[in-house]
Order: sequence, then C-alpha cells, then structure tokens
Amino acid sequence: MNRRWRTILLVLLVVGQLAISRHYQALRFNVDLLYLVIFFIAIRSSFMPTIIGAALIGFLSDYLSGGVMGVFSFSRTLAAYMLNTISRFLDLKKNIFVFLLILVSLFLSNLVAFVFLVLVFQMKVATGLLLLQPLSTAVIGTILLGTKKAKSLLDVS
Amino acid sequence: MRSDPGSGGLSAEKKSAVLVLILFANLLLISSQIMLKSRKSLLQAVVANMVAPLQLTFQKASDFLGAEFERYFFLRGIYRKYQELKQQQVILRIENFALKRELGDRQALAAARQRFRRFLMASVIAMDVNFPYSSLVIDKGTRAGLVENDVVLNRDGDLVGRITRPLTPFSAQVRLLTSPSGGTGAAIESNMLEGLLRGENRAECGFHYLLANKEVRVGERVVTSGTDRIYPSFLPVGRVTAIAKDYLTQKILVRPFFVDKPLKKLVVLLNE
Repeated sequence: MNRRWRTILLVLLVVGQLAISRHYQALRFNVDLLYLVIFFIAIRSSFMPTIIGAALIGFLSDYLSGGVMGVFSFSRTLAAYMLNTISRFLDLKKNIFVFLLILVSLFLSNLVAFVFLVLVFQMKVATGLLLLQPLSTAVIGTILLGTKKAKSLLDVS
Repeated sequence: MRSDPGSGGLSAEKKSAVLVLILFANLLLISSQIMLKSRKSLLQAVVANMVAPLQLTFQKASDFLGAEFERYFFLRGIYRKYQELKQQQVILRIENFALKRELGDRQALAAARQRFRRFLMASVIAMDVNFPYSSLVIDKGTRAGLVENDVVLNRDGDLVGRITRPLTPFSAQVRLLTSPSGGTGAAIESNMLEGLLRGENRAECGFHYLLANKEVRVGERVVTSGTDRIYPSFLPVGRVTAIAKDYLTQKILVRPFFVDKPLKKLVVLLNE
C-alpha cells in the first residue's frame, strides 16, 4: 500500500514540476520538485538506483530548463551521491535536518550547475537559482515530509 | 524501513566506478556543447586531437602499404615490359639507321645533282686490307658507263680518287688520293698556292712543290686546282696538318677529308 502511495506521490511531484515549467511565466514560482524526487530516492534507496535515478531526473531538469544538456544531470548526480552517503548519519525524523539537508544539497548542486552555466557557457542565470530555489524547495520538501502520514508513506524514518 | 543506502550489494570500488562513469558521461555531454572559437565543440576538438595522431599514423601506414603493394605488382610485370621495350628499341634503332642511311644517300644525290650533270652512285665492294689507302673496288663498271679517270667523290662531295683499270662491266677499281701511284693537282684554298698532291700509302698525303714565299697555316683547306686535267677544279680535298719549310719550297702534309669518313657509298662523275 505504501509503495503505491509513494509512487503516486513521486509521479505527482514530476507532473507538478512539468506544470510549473510549462506555466513558469505566469506562476513565477521557482521550485524544483524533481529534486525532491531525487531526495526521496537518495535517502531511501541503495547506491545504484540513487545515482542512475538522479542522472535521469537531472536530464529531465536539463530538458525542462532549456539549457545545456548534462549540466543538471551532473550536478544532481553529485548531490544524490552526497545525500545517499550522509543521510544515514542524520536523524531525518527531525524536520530541521530534512530542511537543512535539502537546502544545503540543492544549493551545492545548483552551485555546480551555476559554475558550468555562467563560467563555461557564459549564460545569464538569475541568482534565484542559488538562493530562492533551494529555500522554496526545502520548505516544500519539509512540509511534504513533515507530516507523520508522509513519513510513514515514504518510510523515511 | 529504509534499505541500506551505503551498500547496495556493490563494493566501494564499483560504486566509485559507476559514479565516475556517470559523471564522465555527463561531462562528455556538456563538453559536446561548449563551442570554441573555431566553431567546433570542445568534445570535437578533444576527440580530433586524440584521434588525429592515430588517424595520421593509420593513413601513413596505409599509404605506405598501398604504395608498396602497388610497386610490387608494378614490378611483377616490369621485366617483361622491359624486354618488350628493349626489343622495340632495337627495331627502332635499326629502322632509324636505315632511314638515316637513306636520307644520307638522298642528300648526297641531291648535292651531286647540283654540282654535276651526270653521275651515279656506287657501293664499295672490296678493299685491299694490306693497302687500305691505295685502292678499292666499286660495284659499277663499263656497263654503267664508267670509263678510266672518272672522278670519284664520297657522299659529302669530297674527292676520293679516280677510276683506273682493271675496269670490268660490273666493277671498277678506284685509285685513292692516298695511293702513291700518280698525283693530283691541288692548291691551298685561301691563296691558291698550287702544288702536287701525292699519296704515301697512309692517311696523309704529301703536298709538293709549293713555293716558300707564300705562307701556309695548319688547318687550311686544300682543293683541286684542275691543272692535271683529270679532276675538276675546286673539289674539296683535305686540310693541312703539318708544314716543313725548305730553302725554296715547303713540304706540307695534307689529310684528305674522305679518310675520316665512311666509304660505303661513292659518287662517280661521268665524263667530267
């Protein structure tokens, strides 16, 4: 039962991100729901699904961002590896850790992407990518994981 | 419960390898989109720089092998080709020789026609090996209209000698200028200093009775004077090769022109 709800939640996150990307001009809502999918996979799954899933979802982010293919895939893979490695040492029952982990990991991941996009490809990228997006994503992620129901569904503890 | 994220059934080395592989694939993808100033992507440039030496080596090696194979197959047939060409060359040389000879005959004929009214061409058929500068036999005789004392020239129109006996219907003897029998009235062409040219059975003739008061230089041309009433005047005879001065006369050696030329074909002037 949990497995089905978990899948539905992850699919909803993906669909939500697709909707946000499609209507970004109207919504002006800078959040990366796909990163939450990576986060959930990284803290729950073993190494291989984490890495491969992060790379594939990163590709989807690249596609949706309309930028350079491979940049987000690269940065998300690194972030997923980091999450997968350090999440075992954190008590994710405490929401503050969930919040901080999402915030910091997404910031670092976006920093890597930022370096590529700005320094290598000399693209103009809004600073919201480094500040606003990690913050909003961390808030939403904490909300989603903060409820006991969600924690039980995602089997995070 | 969350499954063990750390292990996943893979060793640390394999995990690292997978991670590095995926990251490397991403970097490759990114580098394929970095455009350089040369309008090439970074990946293209890197690949080109990596592949170029290999490509160059392969190309050089294939060129070398191709050239060697081509040379080998070329050389296989070259010996037979060489033999064929050599045979063709021999045929052409013979043909060339025949054409040259024919051309020479025609030129001699044309030159003789310009100077003399009646003449004929004759071939040498015999020569006295003991006295090569004395006489020879030609293949024309009385049947062709030859008579004694007819003048004989070589193909260049240089004086060779005259017809003497024995004279048969089909052959005649030619007494050469270099024969010690008889003599030829001759003169130095530049000053018409006259004397008597007499053979000495060698390649050079003695030029006698020339007065010492006129200077003669080595290399001057000698022509017939016509005073002997046998040879027409101004036929080219030879060139002065040595001069010995005496009290009143000077003795000169003359080398006839015909000595240094082939005597296969001769021109006989009829009734000159």
